[in-house]
Amino acid sequence: MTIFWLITIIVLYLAVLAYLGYKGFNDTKNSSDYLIGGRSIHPYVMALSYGATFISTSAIVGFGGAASLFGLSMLWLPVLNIFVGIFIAFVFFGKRTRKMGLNLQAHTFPELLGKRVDSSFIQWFSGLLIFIFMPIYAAAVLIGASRMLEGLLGVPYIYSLSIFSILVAAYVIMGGLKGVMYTDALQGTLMFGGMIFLLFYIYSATGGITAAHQSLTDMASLVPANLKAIGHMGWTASPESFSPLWWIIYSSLVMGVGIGVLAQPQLIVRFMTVKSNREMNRAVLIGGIFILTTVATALIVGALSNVYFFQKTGTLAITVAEGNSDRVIPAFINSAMPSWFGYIFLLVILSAAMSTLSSQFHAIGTSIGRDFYETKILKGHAAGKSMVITRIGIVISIILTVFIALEMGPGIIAQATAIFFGLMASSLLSPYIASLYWKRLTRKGSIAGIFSGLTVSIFCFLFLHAKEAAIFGVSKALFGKVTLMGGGWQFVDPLVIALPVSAVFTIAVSLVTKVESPERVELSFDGIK
Amino acid sequence: MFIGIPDPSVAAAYIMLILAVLLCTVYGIVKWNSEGEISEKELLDEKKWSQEEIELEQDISGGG
Repeated sequence: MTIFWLITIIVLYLAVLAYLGYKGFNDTKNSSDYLIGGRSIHPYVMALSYGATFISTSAIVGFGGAASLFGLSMLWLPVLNIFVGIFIAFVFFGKRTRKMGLNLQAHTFPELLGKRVDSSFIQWFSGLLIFIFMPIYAAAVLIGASRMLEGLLGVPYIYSLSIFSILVAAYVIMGGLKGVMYTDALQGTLMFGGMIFLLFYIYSATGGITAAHQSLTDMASLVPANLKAIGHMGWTASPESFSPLWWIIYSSLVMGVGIGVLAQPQLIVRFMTVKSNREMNRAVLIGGIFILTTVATALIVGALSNVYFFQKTGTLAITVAEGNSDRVIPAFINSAMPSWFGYIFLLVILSAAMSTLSSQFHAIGTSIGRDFYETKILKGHAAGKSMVITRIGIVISIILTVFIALEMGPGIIAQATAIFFGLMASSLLSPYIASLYWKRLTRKGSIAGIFSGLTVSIFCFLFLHAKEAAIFGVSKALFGKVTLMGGGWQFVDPLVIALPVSAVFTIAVSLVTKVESPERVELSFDGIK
Repeated sequence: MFIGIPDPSVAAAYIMLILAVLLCTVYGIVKWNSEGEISEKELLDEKKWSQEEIELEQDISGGG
């Protein structure tokens, strides 16, 4: 891949995005245009826009790389992504979120949670949580894109990270954060096409579906000793039950991300812009197929890259990637795919990263401007005065994201994503579900749910869950050991403990307190059967 | 042994993947034209909502 072609492709790509952004802006200059434009949006555009926001370089590069280590048992993740992240999200969460959002005139996820129980505290506090923690996930996406550039161009990681950070900053300055579905849909289409090609290619390069899986099954004896020691039993087998690896795969990667998706602020706001339930019904169809072709393909390619590299070089994918699982997918694309596909895949990666990053920084901007600054500092007295704070907040979070991406070590993408998804789900999912489905939810119950989930999560990250506790070092400093509990507990994802605790607090505190504003409950559920 | 995968729990994931997509496909087809109508009140709510949304978008990414 040459720098000339690379720059040409990137410039062309950005020009097309800028054109679509301009077209989208012209379509939505005033509220009538906005309504008409929104109403005529094709379900394909809506579904791919949601899918492109949902699926990022974290899924393709990070989780694909993780599958090269852990194998096909990770396919339970796209099962949940489709069943929970698409079907349940649209049918059981999306429709109510849309209607309640309109009833309460809410524009962000924190605003919905806050207005549902008439609490500005919930709005600004949830906004602050998103502002603080979202850069961890944005960094995971940024690392994924940078690792791809590193692999395709053969430049040092620090350069690829710098190139990509400049691209992101340019995209934001160009107005790329504007919620234009057409750009997302174009990006989704590129991802869709590129990943389908990749899926066909990997199976044909490794001898067809059954033969490829069989070859991977036959490689079980080659599992590295360090993985074997934590329960790995081969790439087509589930790890030993309740072994450390079993907990890592099923509690962090599969459940954490598979269920955590329901409390993702950048996805929930998408439901609010949908014009009727019909659009959501239709998007379920397209969204399901999109997740299958993107996430499942990434995981299958990751796992089967072992077969490919073993047949070609006699080594495992992780060896080719020099021990860094985040480098497996780039290494595979670089050595296995025809060179023209490298250019196409670059666009796939740019699309996957940009569509997610733009929605992440959009959520960060509204969190700090609308949810925190307008609600906590201005206290709603002077709405519309938060533009400067919003912009400053976005700039600070971009810098923070780049800094985190620089600091995080190898093989980190999937874990960083799981941390953010887990944190959001632990603190906000129970109050969110109760907001949508339970009229008895009280303000105190909602606050209790948020605080209990958050506290337990942070406690687990600092004192129980081995991976993060080792990084933060608080437990070591205070008690002289990395985690407070040994055995399997140090591998159980904090979500497994924090989510039930948050649910119990949300329900119990609501039951012992009175609904503060019955009128607000009536307003919220108006027209909801 | 299912398509070269000996472990039933991993083979099940493969099958569930197909079933989950089928569920989404069937649901999408069956409901393709349902729930499209919205009430007058909803339309008014939406009009008010979109005015505020446009201002919010301008805060985030400027007029153009």
